[in-house]
Amino acid sequence: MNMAGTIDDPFFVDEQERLSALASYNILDTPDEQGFDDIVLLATQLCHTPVALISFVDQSRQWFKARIGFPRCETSLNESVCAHALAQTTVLQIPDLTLDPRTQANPLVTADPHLRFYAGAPLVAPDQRVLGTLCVIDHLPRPAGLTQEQLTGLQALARQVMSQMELRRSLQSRDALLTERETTRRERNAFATVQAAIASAGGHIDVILNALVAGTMQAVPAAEGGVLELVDGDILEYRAVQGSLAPFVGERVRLSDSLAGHCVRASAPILAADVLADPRTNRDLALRLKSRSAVLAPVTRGDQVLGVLKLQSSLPNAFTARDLQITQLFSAAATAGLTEVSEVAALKAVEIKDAYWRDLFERLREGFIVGRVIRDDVGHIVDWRYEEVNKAWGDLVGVSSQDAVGHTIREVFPGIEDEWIQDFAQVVDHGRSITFTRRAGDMARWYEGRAHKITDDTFAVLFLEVTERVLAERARRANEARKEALLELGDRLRDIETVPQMTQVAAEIVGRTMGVTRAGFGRLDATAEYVEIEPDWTVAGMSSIAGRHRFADYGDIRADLMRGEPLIIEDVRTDPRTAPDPGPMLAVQIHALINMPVRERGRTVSVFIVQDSRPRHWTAEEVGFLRAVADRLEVGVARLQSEHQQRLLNYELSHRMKNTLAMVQAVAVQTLKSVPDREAVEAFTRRLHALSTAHDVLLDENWTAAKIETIATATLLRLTLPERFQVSGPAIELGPRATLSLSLLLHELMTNAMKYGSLSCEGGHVKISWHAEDAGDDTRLILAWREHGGPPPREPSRRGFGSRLIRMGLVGTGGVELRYPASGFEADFEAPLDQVRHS
Amino acid sequence: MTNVTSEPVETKQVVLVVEDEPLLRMMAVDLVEDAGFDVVEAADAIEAVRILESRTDIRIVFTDIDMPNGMDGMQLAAAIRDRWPPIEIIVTSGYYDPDSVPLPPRSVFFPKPYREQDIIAAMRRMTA
Repeated sequence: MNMAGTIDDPFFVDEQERLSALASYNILDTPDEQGFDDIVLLATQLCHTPVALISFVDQSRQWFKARIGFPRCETSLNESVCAHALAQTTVLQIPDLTLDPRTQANPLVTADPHLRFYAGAPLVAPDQRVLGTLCVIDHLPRPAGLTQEQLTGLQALARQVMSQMELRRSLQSRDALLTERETTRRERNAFATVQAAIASAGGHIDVILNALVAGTMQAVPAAEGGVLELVDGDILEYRAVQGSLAPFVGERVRLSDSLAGHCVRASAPILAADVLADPRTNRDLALRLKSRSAVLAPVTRGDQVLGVLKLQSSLPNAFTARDLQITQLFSAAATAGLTEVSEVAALKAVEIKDAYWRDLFERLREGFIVGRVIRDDVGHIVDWRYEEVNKAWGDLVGVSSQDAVGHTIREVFPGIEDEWIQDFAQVVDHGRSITFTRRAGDMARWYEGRAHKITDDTFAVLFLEVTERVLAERARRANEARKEALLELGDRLRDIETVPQMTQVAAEIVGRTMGVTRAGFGRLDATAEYVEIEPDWTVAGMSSIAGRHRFADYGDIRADLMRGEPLIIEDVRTDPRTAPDPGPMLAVQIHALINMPVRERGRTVSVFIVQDSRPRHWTAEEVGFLRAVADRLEVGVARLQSEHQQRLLNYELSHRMKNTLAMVQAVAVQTLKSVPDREAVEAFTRRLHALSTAHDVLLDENWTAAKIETIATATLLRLTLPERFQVSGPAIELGPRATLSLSLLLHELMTNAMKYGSLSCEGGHVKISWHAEDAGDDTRLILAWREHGGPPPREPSRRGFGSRLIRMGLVGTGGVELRYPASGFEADFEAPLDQVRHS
Repeated sequence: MTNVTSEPVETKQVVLVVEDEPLLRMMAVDLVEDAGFDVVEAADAIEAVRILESRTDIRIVFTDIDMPNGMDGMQLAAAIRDRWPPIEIIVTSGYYDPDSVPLPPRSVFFPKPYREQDIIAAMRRMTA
C-alpha cells in the first residue's frame, strides 16, 4: 500500500486510458439510479458510517453517482480523497484524516463537514483500470479501521457497483444499436423516397430539389430547416427550402461571405457546431435564418460545384459527424438529379438556371412549343407530342394550353398537313433549324416561326401568327400578279393573228392569275340566249365546257349580262339566281363564277368567264381585273378585225393597181405596135414589171416597209436565175418610196449587166451587199453592186433613161458612185438610213 | 361575143383567151396570135364553157381569175380540169393568194402585168 507520494501521483498512471474507460460507461452526470442508491445504503449499514459515496474520478473533478450523508454531487479533485485510491486495487483506509499527510490539508477535513475516517474500495473495470471508489466516511476517527467482515463486505459492494455499471453499459449499447438501426432505416427510407421522387419528377427541377431537401431532413431529424442553394454566378440562390428555411425561398447570398459560399469555394463539407462562433459565418444572415448550428455539403458535378445542401438548427451542437455524412450522401443524389434534369432538355436546363425564363416564356407574345417526336416501328417520325406550350401558344392557335400538353399534334389538329410533322422530323433527324410560314389545317390563320432541335427526340418551336401580314402580302402579290398579267396579256395579244388564239391566251393568263379552276370566252348568238364557249383553260383534271350552252338552263343568269353588268356568283347553292336549281352548275363543277360581258356598240356580244369549283368570294380587285381583261380583249379583237379589213383593202388596192399596170401595158403594146424599135418597147414593159414587183413586195409587208433582201431577191429573180447573184447584208427595212426606187434601180443595173456586164456571158455573176455606217450625226445606208466574171466594162457614151434612173440613187437625190475597173462594173449607193426607212 | 376563126388550120393549135377587160383581151389575143396560135376569145367563164362544149379543138385555155357573172377563173380552171382533162391551163391575175383555192393540176400562174415572153414560153412548152 503506497501511502507516500503527492496528490498528483495517481493521475499519471495511464490516466488517459482510465478516463476513456470511464467515459465508455456514459455514467457521469446521469440521474440517480435505484441500483446504485441501494449499494451506498448497504455500505453505510455494513460499516456503520453516516456517509457513503459512489465516486467516479474524472479529469478535473470527482462525481458521485450515489451518495448518503454528503450534500454535493461532485467535488474538485483537491477535495477528493478517493483520487488517492485510484492507484490500488485494495481498500484504502485512513483512520484519521487529520493525521495523514495526503489529507490533513483537505478542505473537507479542515473545515465543514470535518471528515475524519475514510475507507474506499476501488471500482475496478474489467481491464483493471480504477474508475473511482465505493467509500464510507465517518466524522470520528476510527483508529482500528473497519473490521475484516466490513472490509470484505465493502469490496463485495464495490464489485456490485461495477456489475451495475456493466449491466448499464450493455443496456446502453443495445439501445444504441437499436437507435443506429432505426437511423439507418430512416436514412435509407428517406434516400429511397428521394430517388423515387427524382425518377418520377419528369425532369422538373423544383420537384427534384424539394424532394431532396425534404428527404435529407427526414434522414437528419436534428435539422429544423433545409435548403438547396444553387450557384448563379457569384450568388447562391435558395432554390428548394424546407422547415424553418421555407420563408427564405429565392434568398440570394453572396458566395464571398457566407458559410455556404465557403463550402462551395472549398468544395468541402462543413459541420458547424456553433455557427455564431464560426469566423466564416455571415453573422447577420445567421441571425436572420435563426441558424445556430448547421451541416453543409457541396453539390458537385465533376469539378464544378453546382450548389450546397444545408441543414440547420436553432440549437448549437445539433448535428453529428454522421449527420454530415448523410447530408453528403444526399448532396450526391442532388448531383444525379440535376444531371437527369439536364438530360431531359437543354431548354429546361435554362429554366433550371433561372425561373425567370419560364415566366418570360409565359409572357412571350410568341407561341412556344416543346415537342417530342413519335416514331413508328422502323424509326420514322409519324407524329409528335406537345410536351410544353406557353400561354401565347394557346392564344395564337385558339386551343387551351392544358388541352394540348401530353397530346399529339394529330390529336389536337385532326387532318393537319403532313408538313407540320415532316419539317420538324427534319429538324430532329438532321439537327437543322428551319424557318416556316404556313397555314395550319382548316384554320385560316398563318404562322411564321423557327424550329430548333433540342435532343434527338425533342425540338422547340417559337412562332407568331402572321395572318394579317400574309394576307396583306398575298393581296399585294395578287395585285402585282394582276398588273403583270395585264401587261403580259397586252404583249401577247399584240402578236396574235386570230380571235380564238386571243381568247385562249386571255383565258390561260386569267385562269393562272386568279387561281380559278376554269376560264374561257364565249360568244352570244344573235338572240343572246345561247353562248358558244370557245376552247377554254382549266386546271389539270377539270373538264372543258367548250361548246354551245343555253343561259336559261343554268338559272336566271342572263339579265345582268344583257344590261352589260358582270354576273357575279359566290356560291351557286345560295345565290338567288341559281339556288332554285344549282344542279346543272354543280354538274360541271361550278361553285362560283364571274361572267364579264364584252360589249360592242352598246351590245353584249360575248362574255369572259371564270369559274371555281369551290365557293369563293370575288374581290372588287378581281372583278376590276376581269373587266380590264375583257376591255383588252375587246380592243384586241377589234384590232384583228380592222387588220383583217385593212389586209383585204390592201389586196384589193394592189389588185386594182396591177390591173391598171396591165392595162397600161396593153395600151402601150397596142400603141407602139408600129414602132420599129422593139427594144425600146421591151424596155418599157420590163420597167413596168419592175414596178409591179416592188408592189408585190410591199403588199406582203402591208405597205409599210420591206426588207432590202426581199426587194433585191424579188427584183432580180424576175430577170435571172438565183445562182447568178448573191445578196448579203443586215436586216434593214425600207419605206414604200425607197422600196420602189430600189426596185427600179436594181432592175436597171440588172438589165445593163445582162446586156453588157457580167451576166452577159457564162460564169459571170453579181454581188449585192449593204450595211449601215455611222457618219457623224446620222447613220447612212451603203449599198454596193459588184459584177465579176464578165467582159471588161466600158462607160456608156450615151445617157439614156436607165442611166439617169441609176444616178438618181436610193432616194432620188444622188449619192451614187459608178466605177468601171477591168474586173467588172461597180456601183456604190449611199443615203441617210433614216430617210430610206421612212420614205 | 365569140370570134371564131373559119376552119382551124391543122398545123395551128387553138388557144381560148378568157378576159373580161376588152383592152387586156385584145393584148392577149395579139400575143397569142403573134406566137403563131389560133385564138378563140371569151369575155367571161360562162361563155368560155359554152365554147368548150361546142368545139373539141381547144388545146390551151388562157384565163384571168377575176371575172364577173358568178364564175371566176379558178372555178373555170377547176371545171376544165374536171370535164376536159387534156386541155392545158394558164391563169393570170393581179392578185392571187396561194393560200386560198389551189390551182388545178397541170396549170401555171402568171401575175399581172405578165411578161409576154413568159406566156409564149408556157404555151410553146404545153404544145410541144
